[in-house]
Amino acid sequence: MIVAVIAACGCTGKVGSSEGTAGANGVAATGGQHGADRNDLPLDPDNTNPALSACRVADTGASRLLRVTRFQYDNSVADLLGDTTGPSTALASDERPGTFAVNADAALTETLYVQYVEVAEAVAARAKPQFGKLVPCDETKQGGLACAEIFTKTLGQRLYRRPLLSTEIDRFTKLYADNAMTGHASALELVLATLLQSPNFLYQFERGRPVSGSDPNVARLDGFSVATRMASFLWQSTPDDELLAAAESGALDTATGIESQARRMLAVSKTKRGWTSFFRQWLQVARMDQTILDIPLRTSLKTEFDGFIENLRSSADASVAMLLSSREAKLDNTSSAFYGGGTSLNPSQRAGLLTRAAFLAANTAVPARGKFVFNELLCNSISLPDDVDTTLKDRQPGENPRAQFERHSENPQCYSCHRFLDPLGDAFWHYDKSGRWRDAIDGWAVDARVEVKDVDPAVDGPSNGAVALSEKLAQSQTVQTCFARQWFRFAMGRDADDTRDACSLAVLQQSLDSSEGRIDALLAALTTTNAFRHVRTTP
Amino acid sequence: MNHSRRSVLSALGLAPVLAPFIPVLHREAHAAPGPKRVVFMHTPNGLLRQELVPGTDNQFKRILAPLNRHRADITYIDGLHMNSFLTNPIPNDHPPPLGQVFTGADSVDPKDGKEPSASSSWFASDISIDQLLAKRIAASTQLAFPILNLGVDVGSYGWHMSHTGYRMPVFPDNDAAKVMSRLLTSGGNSPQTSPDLQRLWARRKSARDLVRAELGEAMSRVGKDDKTRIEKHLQVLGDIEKRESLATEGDAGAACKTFKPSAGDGDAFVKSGRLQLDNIALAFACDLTRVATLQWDYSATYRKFPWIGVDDAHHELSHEQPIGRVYEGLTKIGSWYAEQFGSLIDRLKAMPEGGGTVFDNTLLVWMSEHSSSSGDHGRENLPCVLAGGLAGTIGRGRVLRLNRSHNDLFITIAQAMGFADIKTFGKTSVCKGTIAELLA
Repeated sequence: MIVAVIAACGCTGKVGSSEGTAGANGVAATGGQHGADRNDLPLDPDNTNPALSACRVADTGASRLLRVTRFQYDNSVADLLGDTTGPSTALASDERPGTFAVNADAALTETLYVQYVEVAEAVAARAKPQFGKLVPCDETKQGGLACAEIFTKTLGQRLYRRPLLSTEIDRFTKLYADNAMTGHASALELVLATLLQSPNFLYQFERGRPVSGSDPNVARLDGFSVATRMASFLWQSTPDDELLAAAESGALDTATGIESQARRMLAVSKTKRGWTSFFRQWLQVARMDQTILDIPLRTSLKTEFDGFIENLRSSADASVAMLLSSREAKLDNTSSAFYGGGTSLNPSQRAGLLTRAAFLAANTAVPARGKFVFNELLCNSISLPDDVDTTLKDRQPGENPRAQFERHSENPQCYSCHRFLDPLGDAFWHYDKSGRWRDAIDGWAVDARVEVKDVDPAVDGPSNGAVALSEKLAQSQTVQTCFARQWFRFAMGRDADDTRDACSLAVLQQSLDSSEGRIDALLAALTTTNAFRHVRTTP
Repeated sequence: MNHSRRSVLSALGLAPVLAPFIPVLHREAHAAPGPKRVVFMHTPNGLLRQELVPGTDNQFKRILAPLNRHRADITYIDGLHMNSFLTNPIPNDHPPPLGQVFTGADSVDPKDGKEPSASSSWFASDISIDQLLAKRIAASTQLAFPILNLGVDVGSYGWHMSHTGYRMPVFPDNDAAKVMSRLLTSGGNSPQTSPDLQRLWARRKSARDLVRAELGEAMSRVGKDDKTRIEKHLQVLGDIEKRESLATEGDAGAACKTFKPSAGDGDAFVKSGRLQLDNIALAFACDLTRVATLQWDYSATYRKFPWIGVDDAHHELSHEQPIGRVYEGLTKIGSWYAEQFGSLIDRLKAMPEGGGTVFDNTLLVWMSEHSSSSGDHGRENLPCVLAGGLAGTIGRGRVLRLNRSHNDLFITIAQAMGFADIKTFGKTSVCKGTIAELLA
């Protein structure tokens, strides 16, 4: 998400296109005085939070230009053209630098380019019968060229996430004119296929202006850039007409305006995509495919997981605590049998996220489960050192399964990390690698009692099993803060910079503290942070 | 574009994919030797050493038995070690060393050790041999496709055999039907092609021109970190532009007219593999490319092989003790892959070229990153099966027992391909030079 900042004179001077929101040398037409920046930022009136004082100066960590992910590509064509065929399966996989798919680094290869061309042509061909409905225009009355211009502007601005410049529109009308002899619809088909191949669709370019008093490399994003980020984050798609109109009107130049749109967006079902994408990736649910080879069972359990997340999303008061402790479940015959029968879950065996099959089957080994809790829920960053011999003596006949992992304590190199991971992971002994409940392993009665030490004040101490551990995690302040950071990573496509994003992280913390951990409050607050509203460039 | 392909294309018109080839008559066969080509193939989860490596009698054991009919054309090399890995080991997880097989380089930790990194994002630190050879060929010869990187159900990001450079993996194309369609309809300005195809190419060119203009404008809108990506995007379009405006001449595609695609049914995995092997043969026959890679599956796959009676997951088998059912399963899977390798040899042998066949001018290389498939993740004695003599430069029918870095194999191949200046490859510190025992 890199933009060229106007180096010289700030907000006056109009070089380049007169259309308004231009490129490097243009001026953002949408409002916003520099003076308004300070008043706009969430401040701490009682000055009790030193982190919020950092918000007086706009700052954000560095970021890269993002290319749409496959999921975002599919959603964009579904939202704009009604194409729900999921054409991105023909595209190469996304980059995964960490937990989430983020195309921020690799250059386009020829393979991917050819795939984009073919997908664009196929999408345009499928949309062709709908052109009359998508962009009503009578070419016999208004003329083919005029209709082509309307077509370009209407679909183009939804794909480019901003109105097209006149130079851009002219290229498309010329493209139309050069191909008009093949027929009006056929020429429009080429226009649409080309829009879909445009770098302005494939990459999320952003524009902004420098903020007085801040680092000259930091720019306040214009309304369309904010709209781009909001739609990409919450809906995993391109902005709709209402969001573009909000950008046009200047509504996205203020925190209140942004929050208002965020609330609207959070209330519609398209936000399901953001939620599902976050949780599936965070837990690496795709790894279930390696554990549960029975496809109908796996499908049923994935559905149960999606249902759990969707239930949270549509609950008005969904909180981090609920995420970890809710027993809500929508079961079909298959998942019901898996979980032990009945129409609801056994509350002493199942609670929230950590006791659902999707998590358990995607993180099968005891230390892996412990590692998720330690790294992903509590935001530590334990990793395997390069030079450690990781062979663990196999479980001996007649030995209880926990004894094998207790051997970690014999080697200080292992123990330095496993003293944290193992007690957390041991709480999960009742769940086999698929996530089924078991009371015994090879005749050994499962013992899932753990004694957690030096991990977190809310979690330390004895717990018996993953349900009890989950209840404790649900009360942890650290888990809340960490959860906010994970959403930051998902929304921003990068990790938070502890210095430059201190203000933004503090704002997220404040949103959770003042709403009793409500997730929707967190997501809305994210869109109003300095990180979200600014971009840091490397000139 | 040569006659045979043009005629094939005009007979087919726009209809892509599996239309049968129509033989073209009246093309003189020339005695001139054909161009050199190379194929690199990778299969997952290693190969069971006990049934792979020929014993002191040099006879093929069960995994290579399906290749007995090609015995005289196959060389097995034991004793190639992945020293680029062994001198700089990384967490010995499943996917990362895959990138090191055909690059002979290091695997790069994307997080610089700061954070636990998903194993799917370790990439190789250098260009792979297929990409290097393709680049070198492209410097003097324009081909419709500089390289074909094909896959059979190669899924997850990050587990790729081919790299264009430091941390630049190439995603193989899994859609075999689409690839065949592209091979059949690749560009050129011949007047004898169908009007429909010409229209398609013209439309694509206009789209490209517009996109290039927009990319040019985008350059000023990005910071320096991202300029390279925009430049690369522009370069890709430029390369395609150059190739499509070129009309190729010459006899190199004489074998094109005798190509016949394979028939057959079976599991989707089997069919896709069959079609990809067809694609390699087709591309070579019509001289659309001279370098191809074929990656089967994802490198730690849990695939089952019911069509050969193996109902256990491949990856699980590779981590169990290789006895009984497990031994049988691993052997059957290995030998099934050998059959696929053999069937590619068959296809190439069936295509006349010069005074011989396409196969005579080709080298096939089949390797894995595991010294066996019994779970120890060893990096010495990498499985290595070669087929073909590469126009008489590579020795055939041998069993070599060496003690070399596997980089040296690629140096040897590069030299045999005619690039005498290539004396090192990948991690230079582990290179020694060509393998004299391998040369013809």
